[in-house]
Amino acid sequence: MVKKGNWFFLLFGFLGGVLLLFIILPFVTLCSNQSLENLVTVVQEESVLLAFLNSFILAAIASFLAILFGTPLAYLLSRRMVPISGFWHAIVDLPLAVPHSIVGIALLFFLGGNSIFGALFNNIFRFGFVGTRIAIVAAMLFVSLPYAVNAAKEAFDRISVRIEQVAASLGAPPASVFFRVSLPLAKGGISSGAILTWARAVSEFGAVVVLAYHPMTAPVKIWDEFTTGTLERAGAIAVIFLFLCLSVFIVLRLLLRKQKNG
Amino acid sequence: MADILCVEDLSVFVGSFRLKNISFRVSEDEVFVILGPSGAGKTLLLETIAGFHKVTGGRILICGKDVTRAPPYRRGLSLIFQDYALFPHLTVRENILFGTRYRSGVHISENLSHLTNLLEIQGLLDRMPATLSGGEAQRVALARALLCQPKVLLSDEPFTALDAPMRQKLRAQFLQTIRGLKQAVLFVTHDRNEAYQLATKVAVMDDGRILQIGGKEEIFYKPQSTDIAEFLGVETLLEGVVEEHKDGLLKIRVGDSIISALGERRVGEKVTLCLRADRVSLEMDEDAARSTIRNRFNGVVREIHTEGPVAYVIVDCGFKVTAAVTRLSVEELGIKENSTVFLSFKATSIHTF
Amino acid sequence: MLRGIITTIGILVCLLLFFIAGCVDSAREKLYVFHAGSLAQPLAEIEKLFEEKYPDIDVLREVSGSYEAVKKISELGRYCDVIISADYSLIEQLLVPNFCDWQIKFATNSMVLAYTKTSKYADLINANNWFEILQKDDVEWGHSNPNADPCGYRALLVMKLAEIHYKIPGLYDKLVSKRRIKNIREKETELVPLLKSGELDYTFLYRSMALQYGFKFVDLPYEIDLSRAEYADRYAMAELKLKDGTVQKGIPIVYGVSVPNNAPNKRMALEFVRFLLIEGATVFERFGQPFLKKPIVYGQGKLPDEMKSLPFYKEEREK
Repeated sequence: MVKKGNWFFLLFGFLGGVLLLFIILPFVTLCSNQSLENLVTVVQEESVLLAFLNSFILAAIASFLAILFGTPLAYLLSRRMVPISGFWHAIVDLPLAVPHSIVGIALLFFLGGNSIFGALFNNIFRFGFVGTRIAIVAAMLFVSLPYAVNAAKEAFDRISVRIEQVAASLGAPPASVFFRVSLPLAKGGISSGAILTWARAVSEFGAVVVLAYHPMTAPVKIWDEFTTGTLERAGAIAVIFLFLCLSVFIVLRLLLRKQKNG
Repeated sequence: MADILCVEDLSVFVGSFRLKNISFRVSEDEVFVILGPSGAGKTLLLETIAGFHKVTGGRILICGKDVTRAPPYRRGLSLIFQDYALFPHLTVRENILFGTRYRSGVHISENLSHLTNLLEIQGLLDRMPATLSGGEAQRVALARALLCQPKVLLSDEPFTALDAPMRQKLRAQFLQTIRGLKQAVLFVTHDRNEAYQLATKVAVMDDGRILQIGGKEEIFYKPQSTDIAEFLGVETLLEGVVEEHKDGLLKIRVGDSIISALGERRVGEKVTLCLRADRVSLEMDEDAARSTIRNRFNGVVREIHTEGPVAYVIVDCGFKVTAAVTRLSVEELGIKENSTVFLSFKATSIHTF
Repeated sequence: MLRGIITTIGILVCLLLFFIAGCVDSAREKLYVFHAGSLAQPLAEIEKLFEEKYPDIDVLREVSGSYEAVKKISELGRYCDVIISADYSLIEQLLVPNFCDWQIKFATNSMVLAYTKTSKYADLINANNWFEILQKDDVEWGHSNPNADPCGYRALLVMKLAEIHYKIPGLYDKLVSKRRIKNIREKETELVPLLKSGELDYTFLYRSMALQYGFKFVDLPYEIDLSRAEYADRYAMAELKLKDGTVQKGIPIVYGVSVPNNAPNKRMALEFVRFLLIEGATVFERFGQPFLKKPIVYGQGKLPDEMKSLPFYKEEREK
């Protein structure tokens, strides 16, 4: 904690405190503007609950996919097993820099009814890609995968190559080395990354709303309420969503910490 | 004895490091030490033999089989490193037993108890690596490497990170263990004392090349160049010219004196003479020096430095010679700077190149 | 090991829920309706009534500026069943003939200047001085984006017509110079919270919306509020060039509805339009937005048979 009379730590505490207030105060204001009865009404509506369910579950699926595909990529990038790995890493980070609506439009052009891919999808599965939960997962996956890949890569980076070399010399083929040594040691970092990935996916709006206005995720529902003029309802839904997300976040982090120590 | 490991003309380029035309053989039951300064390429050589780098030229054969292109997990070698490289998420027992999954026909429980007893780590089996001391960790690493009976144990300066008493203890234990198992070892170090203690054969390496290979005594007492000699800590190096050669006995002029040595050289040839300090006798009294020894000189003590129990006395006889004497002797004989002393050393103790 | 099993089970449960949720929803037929923001309130009511009548149908509405809605179909390749535009000319110009063959014009509206009792000069403003008050430095006023929302370019046309009507040359430019960019929003419905919260003092809005949201408003002269078909020639005197090059002439506000040719669910789409035109009339009335006495058909030759049986329509010559 802050040492008495030590100006350096006081300054740091001050700067940090300003930042924390910057995060907390807008939310406190938002929450205090809501009426309790409004909250109670809104939380019981089927469309609202469905929106929450959509958001949480689809984000979980997107995170799962991000980790499933992202961890192998992270391993290859970490061990420099691909040529020009720096370039591919930059590509992985690209979704972070692209404005979300552009992500949505790009995915729309790539997978919508007019494209080759979309038409193929249409013919095989007899439904359009746009406006489905699959599209939502795609949008969520696109914007959140950099978090999964980066976290996994950093976790692998922290494992000394020596350990993998020893495992190999003891007779372990590459798959064995990965599953018995690298992955268990990287698990903490990957799990932490998974939480961030989920958080990013659940909050995505710009890309999702272009690809799939319906079925509605929570951010889209809130926006819909806002733009049709019922600001109070939008605020109420937002506050409830916020608390739910915070709870999930805290629970996941606690679980992660228990896993690390236990 | 059969060759377990055979390296032929090996060349490797990795970044700015290179190995050039390395060739040597290791037999079973042999401790082959590669001795060289930092940056010589010793670790690179070990890693290449283990299979972690692509070879640009030459071959590696293990028990006669060409493994140059084989992946590391098929070579049947084990590694121990300076930083132990234990698997931090597994217990000691799980660490040691790690390789048993891949090698069949290993009598696991017998070998495990035998090894753990030998290395005195039976009590640690359920501990986690992070809780072990340096010495304990290295013994666990050794057990892990040896359990699966590797063809060759590759060791990369494993004791360097330990403190001096621990290092001594571990070296002794190491030697005892591998001798007991008749294990072939390829050992890399920059410490010449360690090399002398552990080796049966030594290869001196620098700048990516092998400079000299030979038995321990041969290397240490008969280096083939000034660089090697200096690296091996030969205390006295002199330049001279051969004046006489008769029946294998040489008379070499060094400064104003003649030194007798053995060898086949032409008259007029310029040579460098090596003389180890522990081959020089030092007396205060001229008569005390044995008269049968060919090389007897008197000189003045210029410097004395002590290292542990040994005192190195540098004497100027017209050329500088270093003699190793116990500290007790220094006190009892009253050897001081500017004392006059009498040195003698046998002709057989001189090595020329 | 145990953790691994729990995680896998957790994942399977998630996937299962996903599909269940998907199935529950897709048990109903979906009907996609793109519509203008200004119709949000009456259409929410109509959606409820329609779904009561047809419980197997799920009406999914997407609200946006009418221009944006039309572009979703014409440029982004989106599919919808019913499109309702706040400006029929958008459907006429941009969707016919590639995407739509016909259109029914069914409702009108008028432009007003909305405000609240806390707006500056609220007790002074009227139909004769509003353009002076808007030029005051301490007044914050705005409108929606002319490039995305008809309400936006209509606001600008009102200002151009005001210049002609009040005989004040240069009035349009003066007003535009006083308007702050930050007060322009994508669609008209976004202006509502701004006005309510006091961020804006005045905003150009549809009369229906002003009524729905309980704002006070200045009724503008018919000559400039784009509400009367009789004044169509007058309205035509104002012209506006948009960012993408299209020119919007002043025309009376008429809402149009159509079913695109590539509608996924054409049968129910036509039923919805029918429902809108018949049962919808009273709903719209309640929300302060009157229907045309008789809906007007454009592209009557191509009108589907289901539509032809509507109680009243008037033919219009195709342009």
